[in-house]
Amino acid sequence: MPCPDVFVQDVPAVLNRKGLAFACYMDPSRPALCDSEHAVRVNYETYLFADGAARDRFSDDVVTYCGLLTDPVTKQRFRPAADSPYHEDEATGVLYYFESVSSFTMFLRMPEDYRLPGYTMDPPALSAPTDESVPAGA
Amino acid sequence: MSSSPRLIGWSLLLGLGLTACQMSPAPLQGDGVFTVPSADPERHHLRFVDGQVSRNDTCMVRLENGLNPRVPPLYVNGEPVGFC
Repeated sequence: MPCPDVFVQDVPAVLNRKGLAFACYMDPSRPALCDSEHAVRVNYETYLFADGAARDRFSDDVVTYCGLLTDPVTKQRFRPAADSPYHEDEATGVLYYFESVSSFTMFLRMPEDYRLPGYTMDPPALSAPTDESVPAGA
Repeated sequence: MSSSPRLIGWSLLLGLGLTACQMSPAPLQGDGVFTVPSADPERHHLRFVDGQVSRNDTCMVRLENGLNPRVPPLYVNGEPVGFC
């Protein structure tokens, strides 16, 4: 399994094993607690908090606080809006926002294909054809 | 005789060009991702296309491996972490 896929499935455990510490996402003057109770995953991004109050403030208004997210289908970074399509995945409890309705539809059709980043050395979504690779007049 | 100064000039330019090539940081494959120094001289962080530098200098999962610039980062608290 690719390393990013291992990582997102238990971020606090991997961070603790690595010994990497973070400040609280909502209050950088305080250290974040690196455990599952104080971690929130949105898409492939993870947020760590100093206490339950900070976590709840974030969770109550994710779109305001989350910043850029990675669309699980296109793998593009985007900033969600209040009217962005979203889905709370029952299997994992992870909240997913989508940059478009087509991404949302695709995810619901095949969630098992998009729950994990699946990043390898040549991620297909990041090597999409460019204008230069399209023959002239095509 | 008049060609000598021109020859010297071209030689200087060629020499400067070669020196510049040798001193320029070599971008790695990964569409603009490049390495930046780490506290460990054997390792390096990655600066990703969004301008942010990886928090880690070895893979988050396979701790003994360096970072692979072709694997996109994941983000914790908005900061990128890299993988091998």
